[in-house]
Order: sequence, then structure tokens, then C-alpha cells
Amino acid sequence: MKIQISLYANLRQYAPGSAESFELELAAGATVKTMIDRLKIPQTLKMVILINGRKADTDTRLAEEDKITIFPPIEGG
Amino acid sequence: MFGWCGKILRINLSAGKIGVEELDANVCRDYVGGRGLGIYYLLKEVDPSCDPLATKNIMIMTTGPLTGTVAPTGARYMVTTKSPLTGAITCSNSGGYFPAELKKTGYDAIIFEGKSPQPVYLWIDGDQAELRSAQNIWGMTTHEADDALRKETHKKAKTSVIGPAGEKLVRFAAIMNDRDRAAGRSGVGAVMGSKNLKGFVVRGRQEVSLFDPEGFTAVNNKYRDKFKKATKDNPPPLRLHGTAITVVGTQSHGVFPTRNFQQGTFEGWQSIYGETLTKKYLIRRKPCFSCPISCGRVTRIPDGPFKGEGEGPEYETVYSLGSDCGVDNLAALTKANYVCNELGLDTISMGSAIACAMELFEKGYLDESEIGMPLKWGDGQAVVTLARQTGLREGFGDILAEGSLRMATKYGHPELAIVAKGQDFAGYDPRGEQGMGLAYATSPIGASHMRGDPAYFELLGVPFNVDPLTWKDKPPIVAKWQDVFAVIDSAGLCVFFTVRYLLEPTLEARPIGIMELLNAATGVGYTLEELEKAGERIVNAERLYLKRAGFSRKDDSLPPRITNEPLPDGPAKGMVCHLDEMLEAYYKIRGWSADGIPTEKKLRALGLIEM
Ligand code: SF4
Repeated sequence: MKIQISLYANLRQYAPGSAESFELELAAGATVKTMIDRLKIPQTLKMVILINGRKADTDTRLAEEDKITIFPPIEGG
Repeated sequence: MFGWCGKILRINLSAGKIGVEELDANVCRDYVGGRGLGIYYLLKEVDPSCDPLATKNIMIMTTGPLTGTVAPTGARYMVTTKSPLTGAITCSNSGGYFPAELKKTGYDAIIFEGKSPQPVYLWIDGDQAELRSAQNIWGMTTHEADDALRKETHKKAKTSVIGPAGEKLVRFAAIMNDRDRAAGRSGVGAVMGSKNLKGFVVRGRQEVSLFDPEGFTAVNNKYRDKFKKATKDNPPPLRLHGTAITVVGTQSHGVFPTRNFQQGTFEGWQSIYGETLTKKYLIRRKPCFSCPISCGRVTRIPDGPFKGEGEGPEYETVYSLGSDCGVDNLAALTKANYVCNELGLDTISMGSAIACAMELFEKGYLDESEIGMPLKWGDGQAVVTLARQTGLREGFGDILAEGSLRMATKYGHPELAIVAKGQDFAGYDPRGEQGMGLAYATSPIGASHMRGDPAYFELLGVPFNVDPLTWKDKPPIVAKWQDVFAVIDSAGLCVFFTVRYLLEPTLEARPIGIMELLNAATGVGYTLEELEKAGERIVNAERLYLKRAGFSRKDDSLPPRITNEPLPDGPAKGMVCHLDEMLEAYYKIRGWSADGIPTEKKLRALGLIEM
């Protein structure tokens, strides 16, 4: 299945070619953890992970055409 | 005394008299400083029924015990007065370098009473204070006044001034220090203008004395090391891209206010968010005094119709002068930000008032002939022009200068002003962020994100995120965070560092790092419980003042758009804000009556009964 990922701020370094948004091909049934591992983002990093704008955890399953947003904790606005 | 200076300066502007008073050690302990000291004096001295722009109102500038120390972000000061925008209180605070310099003059607070017969400014050199004529600088922009005042006094002095907007009593005029830092909200600049006070200039000559200098260094190093470790390979987002990176958090959750809160997502967000700002216009980052983060932005628009240089925009400005007006032109909104800084305007209320006018125009309630131009969503040039007109009270700007609620009421549609207690929302739509709705409605200054900021735990992952769409779980968390924010604002620290590094990383948010710093600085020996109680005391003291000024549950409200009209788009589509259900539980947790008034029992428990 194909999902769309956007990485922000210091997490951008884990995006292929440092693109803000890119597509990733994953096996059916893949979880958020599978995706994080594929992108080689250290598990220890603190992140906010959203699937289609809703909060996800590392064991949340992904589905075809999901839009994933990942950003580090932001200290304020 | 340690940490505190133990002295306040009282200026009677009507008589031109300056006096020095001692600060009671028990008051320091109970109210901490900053915001706490501000409400202490407001409660004691200002008639809650007075006209905020009349001579009877006073203006209180306070620092905290950590302001001017090397504690991380010990950089803030607070302006407390009765607000000409809302009739409630203000607690507008600002960083930069001015606050630390003010503290180093040896005064914890400056209280301005009365009204000067002529324009004046206050010059404090060391502990010597004098009022001087501001006849020659009246009418100047904030930048011009900063230059002129430092020339007249000392080139290393720091200034805090109003621009033409404050002089002309624009109801959301700001007080600008260090040129571009704003005590922005609730019209503090207009109160200053009403007193014929252009500003003040300070030159500090003494370091803050600490109770346990070695212990203080150890605590300071401990938290700075924690920060360094966490950010070594991962620089803080606010340093990388400024607060405007926050757009990522709000847009992705569908709470990025767009076109006067008619939508929760903005199609043009990528043109105006922090990373685009970094790429296109950032010249350099600028920290406040003693800050390891450095979220400030010095920017330049190199050419084109919006050419200019200055500081900003912050996230709130990107929302208010950007998405809320449908503007996806970053150069235009940045230019409008420069104009607001130079004329001395709160960018949040400025943008919101323009957005409200745009909707009035769209719906046919406001005519082109009155505005002097068509006012379409997305018109960046119009936003710049109207900001300038507002700061000078020219043309339609004279109506905008009254704020969005008074303007919308004039045109028969007060429901289109997106305000709480008359103050414009910050850049978070509470329909997709329920806790923020409760925080806006119960904040003592009207809508504000900085009174317990639920965006941290609903959107931004600090300490971790809870579901932003649920409401039953929010009242206890919001009440806790409001109390701890009162402590941060009173200690003299910046929320951005403190929330992430000086609070326990739980929803309880216990202020452990603040306590350690305060104890080493002051020797007071606060326990965590005492410090949390001080936060609760400050929140209740503010509520007590509001009650006396006629506020109650009826004013803890949000516009019908937020409570009745479901969000039409984005991840929070279909949601309204469930304020009433949250309020009921919130009052119970607070120990307030069903009408939102602190009970006698609560006031007694907090030692507020004699107030
Ligand atoms: S985080 Fe930003 S606002 Fe806070 S003290 Fe540092 S530079 Fe100033």
C-alpha cells in the first residue's frame, strides 16, 4: 500500500532527499512502527504522529492513502 | 531580600511626584512577583468600576524574582491594569532585554498613577528616577522613539514605549520594548497613552542578589544541561523556524483559524509557515536575555511592494494577519507585522478585527464606501493599509481601532466578532481543541492562549498529546495548567522554555524546576504545594477583581460560531466546542459557585478573604 508522509523541523533529515512530503510503499498491515523503522527515525526521539489529522501510536495500523504528519514536540506558539 | 529587590517605585503623573516604597516580604512570598504582584496591587488600588482610560486607573509594571538572573529565560516583565478593550484585567508580558535591565535598577515594580498634564517619559538610571518631557517624541513611531530616547539618555539604555496607536487610544495598542518585543494584548498601550506617558527608559546598575549563588548556579546548570542534551542533535523547532512552525501543529489538526474562523484549515498554509519564513526572509535569530532557545526572528523583505525589515512574524501573527484574513502572501503579512510593531499595535487583535471586517463585507453588512476600498479575503495590500490606518486612527482605521466586537456591534452583527470577554481569539479553533475553548472562556483577560495553554497537550506534544476532541477530561487539566502558568508568569520566566524543561513532564505539570530556582534565588523555601497554591491564589485574586468589575458566568462565553456551528472542514469536521459541559465541572474543581464566583471558603483557604 502507498501512504503519504510529511516530516517537519529537525525530522526533515529522515525524509528521502529532504522532501517535505513523499510517498512510501509499505506491506499491507504495516504499523506506524514499521514506517518509523523504514525511515530510520530513532525510536527514542519524541514525536507527534498524526494519521489523517488524528493522533496515532506506534502500534496503530496504516491503511492505503493515509496521510501521515510527523513533527517534534513544539515548545510554543 | 534576595531575588526580589524589596522596593517599588510609585510615580504620580498628575503631580509629577516620584516615591519609593518598601515591598512586604509576605506579599512577595504569597504572590511571587510579576503577574501575582500585578493583581495584588490592582485589587488593592483600582476601583473595579472605573473607566480604564480615566485618570483613576493605574498601570503596574512588575518583574519576577527570576527576572534579570541567569535562570534560563529569566527575561520577562508584566503589565497589569484595567483593560480598555475588555473592561477586565490585563496581564500582558514581554521579554527582550528591557525587563532584565528594569530589574537591575533595583525595583520590583513601577506603579503609574494619575495623568501627566504634558507628554512625559520616565528615565531610571540606577535607582535614580526622573520624569522628563516627551514633547519632542510624542507622535513618533516605536522605533523612532527608541532611537531618540537612547540618544537623550544613554546609548545602552533599554526602552519600553508606545507608538501613535497608544497615543491615539487604539483599544488594542501595545507597549513595545527593545523596539519589537510587545506587551501586546488587551490595550495596555492605550492606558499608557491616556496617562500622557510615552514610555520609559532604564539603565540597570546592580545585579540581582541571590540567596545561595552556588546552589543557584548548580540548579541553573542542571536545567541548561537537560536542555542541551535534549537538543544536541535535534535543535528546538522554535530556534529553527520560530514560533511560526506551530502552523504545522494547528493545520494538521484542523484548528488553524481561517477566514474569521469559518474554516479550520487554510489551503495556503505552506506559503506562510515557519519553514517558508526561514527560507525566504530570515536574516538572523534573536534570543531574549538569558535564553538558550532563541525563537525571535529578524527578517527582511528584500524588494517588491512589501519591502522592509524588522522582527517577526510570530505564529499568532501568521494566523491573525494571514490565514484569518485568507492571506497567503507572507511578504504582505510580514509587512503588516512591521507596521503594527512601529505603530504599536497588538497583531492578534489587529488581524482579527480586519478578518471580522472582511466577513462583514462578504456578507454585505459593511459597504465599500465606508471602508474606502473593497475588502476581499486574501487582499494582503488591504491588510497592510488598514493596519496603518488603524495605528493612526485614520479613515476606516478609526472604526477598526475600537476592536472587532465594538465594530461588529456597530454594524449589527456582534456574533461575527470571534472574541471571549471582548478579546480576540488566539490562533487555535476551540472546536477542534476543546480544552482551548475552556481556557479562552475562563481566562481573566478574555481569549488568550497564554493562560494555561492547552495547545501544548492537545496539539504540540508537550509533555505528550491527549485527544483534542474530547471535553470531559479537560477541566481538571486546564485548571492545573492555568495555576502553573500563573506561577511561570509571576516568577519572570518565558513559558516556551519552562513548560518543556522546568515542569514535571506529566499532565499535573508540577513546577519543580521553578521551585528549585526560586528557592536558590530567594531563600524562601517554597514547597511544591505552596508554589502551586500561590498560582491558585493569583488566579482566584484575578477572578475576585473580575467579579467586582461585574463579570460572572455569563461572560465565560464563546461566540455562537464556536459553540453552535460545526467546523466544516479538516480532521475536526463536524465538531462544536462543548463549553457548557466543561464549565460546570471546571467551577466545581475550582471551588467556585455555579455562577463562577470564588466561594468564601475558597477565598479563606487562599488567604484572600481580607482582600
Ligand atoms: S523562547 Fe523566545 S520568547 Fe522565550 S525567552 Fe527565548 S527568545 Fe524570548
